[in-house]
Amino acid sequence: MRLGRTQATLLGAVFAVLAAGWMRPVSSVGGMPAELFFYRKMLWHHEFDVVCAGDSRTLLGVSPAAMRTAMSQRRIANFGFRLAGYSTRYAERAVELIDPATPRPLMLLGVDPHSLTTNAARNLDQPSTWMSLHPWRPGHFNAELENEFLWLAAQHPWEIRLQVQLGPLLAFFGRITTLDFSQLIQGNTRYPVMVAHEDGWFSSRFKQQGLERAVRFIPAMYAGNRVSPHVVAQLLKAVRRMQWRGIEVYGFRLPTDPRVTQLENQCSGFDEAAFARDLAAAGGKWLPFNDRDFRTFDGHHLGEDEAVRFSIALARKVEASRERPRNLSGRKP
Amino acid sequence: MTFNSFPFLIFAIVFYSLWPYARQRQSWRWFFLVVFSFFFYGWFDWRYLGLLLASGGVDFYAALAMKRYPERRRTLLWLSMSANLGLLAAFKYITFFTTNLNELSRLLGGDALVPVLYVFPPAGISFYTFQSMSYTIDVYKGKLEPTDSLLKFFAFLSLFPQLVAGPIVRATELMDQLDGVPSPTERQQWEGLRLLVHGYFKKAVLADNLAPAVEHAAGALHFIDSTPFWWLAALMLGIQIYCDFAGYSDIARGLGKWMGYEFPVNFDHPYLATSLRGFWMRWNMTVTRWFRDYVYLGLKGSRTSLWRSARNLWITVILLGFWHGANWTFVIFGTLQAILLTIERVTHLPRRLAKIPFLGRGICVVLVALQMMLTGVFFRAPSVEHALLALQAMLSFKSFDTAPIGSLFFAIPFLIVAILWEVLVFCGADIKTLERSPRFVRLEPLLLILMIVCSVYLRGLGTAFVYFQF
Repeated sequence: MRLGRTQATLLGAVFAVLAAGWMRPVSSVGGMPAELFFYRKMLWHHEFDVVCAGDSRTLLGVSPAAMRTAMSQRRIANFGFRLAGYSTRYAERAVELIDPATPRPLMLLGVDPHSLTTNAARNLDQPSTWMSLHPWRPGHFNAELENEFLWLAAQHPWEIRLQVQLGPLLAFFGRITTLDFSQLIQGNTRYPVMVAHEDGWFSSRFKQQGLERAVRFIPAMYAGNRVSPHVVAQLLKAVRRMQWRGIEVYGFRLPTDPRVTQLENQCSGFDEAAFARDLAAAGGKWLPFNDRDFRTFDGHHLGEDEAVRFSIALARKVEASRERPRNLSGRKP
Repeated sequence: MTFNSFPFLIFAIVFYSLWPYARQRQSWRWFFLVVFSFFFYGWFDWRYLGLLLASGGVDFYAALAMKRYPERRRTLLWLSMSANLGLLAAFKYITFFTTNLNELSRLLGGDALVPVLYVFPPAGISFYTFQSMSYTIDVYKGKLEPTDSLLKFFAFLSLFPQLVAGPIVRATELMDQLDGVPSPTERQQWEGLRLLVHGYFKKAVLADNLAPAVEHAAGALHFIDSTPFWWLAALMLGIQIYCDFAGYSDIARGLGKWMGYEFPVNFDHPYLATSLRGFWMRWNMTVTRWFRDYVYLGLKGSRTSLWRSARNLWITVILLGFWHGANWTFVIFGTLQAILLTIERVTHLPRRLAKIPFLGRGICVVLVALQMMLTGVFFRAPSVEHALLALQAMLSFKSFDTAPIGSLFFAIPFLIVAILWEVLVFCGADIKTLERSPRFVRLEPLLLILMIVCSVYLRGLGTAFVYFQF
């Protein structure tokens, strides 16, 4: 059979794509492919004892594996997403991850001012929800930063399953980013610079960066986008619902550079002490951390080593402040 | 589903595997096209299929009724237009109208008059309602015989490659093609492949890698005032939107060719136009042509007094701007285009500049690009305030700090490739000329293979096509 020019070119392209896949540089993301990593999170359902929710600070800063070393519970998940906000939907989805059969379910809420803004939580709680859910990026053309959970939640479930099933194959065809090239050129000794872990942690090995950039975009981030009382009220309502379902809830703020914390509070109107009181009133517990005990790599996020240290500290604090299960006589065992 | 998604790859493999069998019999062919096209559109949200059916159904029966009751043609046309524009108003412009009505009421000291309705416009609604309307208008004008087959009509209206973002194919261009048994020739297959590869390269490699830089700039409006940064961002924005939409059109045309159908060209290197008028003759050509034929010429175009002709131009261009989106930014974008087009028409500046030896054409191209970069800010900005902030930074020349440009560096290689591509065409290396060279004919398969490899591995983050939301 004689191939036409079109068919021959297509066949040639198949071979070239496969060859390029074999020869491609190592990805800057180690572990699981980054895209598959987030899709997999969306399929988690009723399989954990402990769930950590939050935005990129939680995503990068909480290692379930490290927490396991200091906790009695084994099945721990990091359900953090970049720019995730506490919409009702996000909070409810996080609850769905907990195994109903687990004896002492636990929800850890990584809270920072941005996760409580309207922009971070927007769209999913609007009245015309069915109109807002779209398989392309909502607000793609807007200047606001995007909530990654929202984007994934808007994907067709079948599409997510397909993406996960064919993950290894798709990983072969994973894109080569400019970051990959620049890291290779710079000769980063800790390559890959990010590692996507099975338990939902995205560890980062970026070099230390100056604070100037970290501080510069904070005022813009919160311009017209301060902490929303409505979002806070929704979160507290979700916390009460979690309590009714027998889930213990703890809130914490990931350590950031003290200057970042101060400026964020100032620009966003976030009052940590007041939030802690409200959380307690809703049945949760606030776990305070000192910013000076941990070092971020960019003012906002913890690097791999610090995240491990922080996760152990978090797990210890949780264990220390948890009520011990009471036996039938009401006495602690 | 979008052309750059994994489900579409599977969809396309299934469709093109069955197409050689399905195309043989007429009724089977139309049925096959309708089923696959509805599946393609329903993937976004199956509930929107109702809109497609409603918009098409009204026009199909209105056109049939025009044939049966010619004396009521005008009434039927109005009925069809009202239904289509009503759908468009309800699903695309309702948020804009209700918000502005309340704002106006507040300005006059009153309370909100109506509840604000948040409706996310269904994908491609502006495209298929316009395509459907053109069918009725052409039947009304006697240019087209209405079809009796509902299947054939929906095969025309919903044909998946051009359904959600054009090109807007007129019934006069496609209906006849749907009658015959399509059999793509060897040349059509090759041209289809070339269009697909060029389209995916423009979208996945160029537009999607420029998009994060543009997003970054949009997020930096409040704290970067460097003039060079904003000019570079505006250039990236212009190229991103062009590559995104031209890429989509190329893919749509390529898919059409593989089916054996020809769709009209939608982009013809608009950034090489030597006048603003020329730019609009080369940008989104099928939509511009729609507005020219049904709005501008409907108002008697330029065959009237100078004043009325200018008025017709303004109405057409402002409506064209508003067609792009329900936001004041698009109205301002259209108005600015109308002002610039009027100045161009009165002064004949491009014609005069083009006479400058050696440099004339180049100067004209740069001037058009500058106009589009400045006005394009309104096209992209989420609000008028944002657009004015960006324009202020571009035109104030207060800060020449080059440090912020560093944050756009990652996208610069892609910008250079896109500009080089256009420069090559400007210098005469367009595909029609190159095809005459035997050496290029030999090398083109290798070039296409390289572009496919780049589209797979150097693709940006797969964002939806920009024009989907129009």
